Amino acid sequence: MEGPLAGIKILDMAQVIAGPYGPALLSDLGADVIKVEPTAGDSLRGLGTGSLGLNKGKRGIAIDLQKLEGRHIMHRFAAWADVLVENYRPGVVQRLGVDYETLRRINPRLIYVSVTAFGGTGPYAHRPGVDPLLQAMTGVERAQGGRHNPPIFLRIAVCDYITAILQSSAITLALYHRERTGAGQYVETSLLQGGIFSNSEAFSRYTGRPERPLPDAGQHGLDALDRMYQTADGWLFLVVDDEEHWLSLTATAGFEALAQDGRFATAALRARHDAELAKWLEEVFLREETEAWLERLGASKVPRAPVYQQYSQLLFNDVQAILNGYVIRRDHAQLGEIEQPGNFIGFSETPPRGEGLAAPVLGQHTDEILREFRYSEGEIAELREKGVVQ
Amino acid sequence: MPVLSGIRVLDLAYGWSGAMAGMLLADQGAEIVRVDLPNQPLRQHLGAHVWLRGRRSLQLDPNQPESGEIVRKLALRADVLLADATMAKGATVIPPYDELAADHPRLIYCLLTGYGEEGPLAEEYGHDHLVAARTGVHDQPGWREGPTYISVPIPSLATAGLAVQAIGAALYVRERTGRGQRVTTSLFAGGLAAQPGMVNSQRPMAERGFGVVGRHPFGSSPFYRIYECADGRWLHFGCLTPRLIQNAIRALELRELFTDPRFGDGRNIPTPEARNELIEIVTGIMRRQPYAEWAELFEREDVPYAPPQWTEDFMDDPQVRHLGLVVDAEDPEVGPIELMGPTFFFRGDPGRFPGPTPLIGQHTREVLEELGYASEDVDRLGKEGIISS
Repeated sequence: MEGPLAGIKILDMAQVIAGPYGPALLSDLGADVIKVEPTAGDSLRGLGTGSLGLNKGKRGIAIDLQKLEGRHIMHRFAAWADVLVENYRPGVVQRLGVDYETLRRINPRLIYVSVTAFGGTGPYAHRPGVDPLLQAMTGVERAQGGRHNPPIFLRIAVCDYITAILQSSAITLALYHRERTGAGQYVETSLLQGGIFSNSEAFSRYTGRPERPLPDAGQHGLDALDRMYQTADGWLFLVVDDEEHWLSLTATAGFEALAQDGRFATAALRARHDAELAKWLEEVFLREETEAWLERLGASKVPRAPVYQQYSQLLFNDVQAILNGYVIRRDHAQLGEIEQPGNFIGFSETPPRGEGLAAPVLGQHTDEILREFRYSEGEIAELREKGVVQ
Repeated sequence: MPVLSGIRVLDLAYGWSGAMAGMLLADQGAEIVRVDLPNQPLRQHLGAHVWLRGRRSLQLDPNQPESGEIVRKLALRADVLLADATMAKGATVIPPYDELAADHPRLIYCLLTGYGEEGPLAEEYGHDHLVAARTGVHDQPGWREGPTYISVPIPSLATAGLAVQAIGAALYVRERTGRGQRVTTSLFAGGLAAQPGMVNSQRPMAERGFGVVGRHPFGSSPFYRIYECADGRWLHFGCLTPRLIQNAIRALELRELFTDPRFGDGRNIPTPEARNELIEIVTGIMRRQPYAEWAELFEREDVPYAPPQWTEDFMDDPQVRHLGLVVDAEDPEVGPIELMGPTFFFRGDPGRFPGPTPLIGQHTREVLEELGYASEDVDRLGKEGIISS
C-alpha cells in the first residue's frame, strides 16, 4: 500500500487489544505489518469480531517462541523491522530472547515498543492487568455511575483502545525522530497511562478545584440542555450550550413556549430550574418519533444527534461514514468480502492507496513470509514438522 | 533531547480533542504558541488546566483583520498548525491551508472536524457528546433501560491520538521529502476508531454483540465483573484466563460447585441460566466480607482484582507515584497543582513537564516581539483592542 508510512515494516508480536491495535491503525497509513502469533493463536481469537478490526492490514505467521528455532526466526525478522510492538508481562521477552537489549544489537535502528498494563517497573509491574481493572482504578467506572449510581463496566474497552491509539502515535513520532537522528529507541506505554489520559480532565488537584461534571441519576447526561431524551420510538441527544442554540431551540415548532417561560429566560435561570426544564423537555420529546424531531431540530439548526444503538449494523449504510471514506472493504480468507471502519486520517500529499489486507487467519502467510526471509522449501517443511511454525 | 524539540506548533484548537492533542505534543518537547480567543468555553472546562499545559498564550480579537495577519505570521514560522474549531464559539482565526502552503510548503497543517469534510453533516456543530451518540458510544447497559450517557469523552480522546499519529507521520514524510502537507481527522473517525469490532460480512460470523460486558452494567462474565462487598465498596474481578479463574474459584472456596458440569469451567458456561446462577452465588459470597479482607485474600491467591474508585483517589496510588505520573507544578491561575504526567515514555528522553497552562494572553507581548513587532506596535495593538495581555 501507498501512504505516509509506505515502506515501514512493523513486527507485531502483541496479543489481545492494546498491543495489536496500534500496528493495525498504522497499516491504514501504508505500513507493512507482520503479526507473529503463538501457534495456539492470539488469545483474542474466538471472542467475537474484535480480532478482525484489531488485526486488519496485517500478514500473519504462527511461531512457537518457546523453541530455539522460533527465536532464530524472530531475530531474522528483527533485523528487517523498523518497529516492533510487544505486550508481554515484564520479564517475558527476556526469557524468549526478544528483549530490546538483545534485538538492538541485531538492529540498532529498531523502534521497540512495550505496552504493559501497569508499567515496566514498580509495585504492580508483574500483576496481570486487563482493561476492566484499569477502568476501575483510573476512575472510568465511578465517573460512569456518577454520584447517584453504582459503578458501570464500559462495553467499549476504553483503556485498551486509547492506549493502542496513543502507542501508534508514539510510533510515528519515534519514526520522525529516527529519520532526523538515525537512532532507534525504546518506547513504553501502559493501560494505566491510557486510563489516566482517558480521565485526564479530573486527574488534577488544587485548592478550589470544581467538581468533575458527572451524569444525573437517570444517566442521561450532564444537564437538561446537554443530555439524551427518549422519544416515541428511540432516543436523541440534545446540546444547547449557548444563547444562539437556545434561541434556535425556542424558535422550533413545539418549543416556543420555552421562550415565554420566565423560569428559563437566562442561562443562569435555566441552570437554577434545570430539573423543571428537563421534565418539560422529557414530556415533549416523548410525543414524536426520533426522525421527526431530528428533522425539525435540524431545520432550525439546533445541535442534535440520534442516540444509535446497534450502530455496528447501521454504519455500513451511513452516508456520512461512506462519503468520508471511513468504511473500507477487505477480502478475508474465510469470510470473503468484509466491511469495517478505517482510513481515519486524510493526507493531502501521501494519501493511502491500494488494496489493504483483512485480518489474517492463524498462520495464513507463514510460508509466504518465510520464503521472503530466504527460508528454503525444505527448511520450511522442517520447521512445520517440528511444530516451530504453523 | 525530547523527540519534538525544536518543533514549533501553532495551536488554534478550541475543542477538547485539539487541546488534548496539543498536550501530547507539548509533553514531547514541542514549542507551542496558542492563540486564545475571548469567551471560548474550552477555557472554562475542568480539563483546561491539564490539556492546555506547556504552551505560551497570545490573545487576539478574531474579528479584527490585523489579527489574521498576526496568525499568518505565526503560521509561516511554525512546523505544525493544529486547528480544531469543533466546539468553538463564534469567529475563529484559522486560516485556510491553501493561503499558507504556497509561501510555506514545509508546513504541516492538521485540521480536526466534527464529522469529516464531506457529507450532509460536514457543517454541523461537532460536539463530543453528539458524535458519541451518533457513533453508538452511548449504547451501553446502565441502571435503567435504554442507552447510557458515557462520561469519558471517547471520540475526543481517540481523535487526539489520531491527530498526533497524523502529525508524526507527516513529520516523518517531511524529513524525507522536505514537504509538508494537510492532514485531517474528525471526532466521527475517533468514535469509530474506538470501536474496532464493527464488521459487516455477507457470510455468517462468530457472535457479534457485547462480549464480556453483556447486558448488565456490572458485566456478564462471573469472574470478569463488578461485585458489591459487605461494606458497600465494589470490587472488579479481572480473571481473563482459565488459570486465573481457577485461582478465583479456589479463593472463594467454590471448587465443590464445579463438580456440577452445569457451570463449565467458570469461563465457558453452557447456559445463560447457569451463568446467572453462578453470578448470584458469587454476589452472595462477596457481600459477606468488606473490601479490605477480600483484597488481602486475592493478593495472596493471585486473583486479579481492582477497586472501582474515583480518578482523584488514583493520584495517590503507589504505582502511579512510582512511575512519576503525578507532576507538581505552579499554575498561574490556581496556584500549586498536581496533575497527570506523560502518556508515553521515550527511553532516549523520558521527557519533562512542559509547564503549566498559561493565563489567557500571558505571553502576548513576548510572542509578538519575537515576531518582530516593536514595543510601540504592541502597545498600539493593545489600545486598539486587537490583542489582550
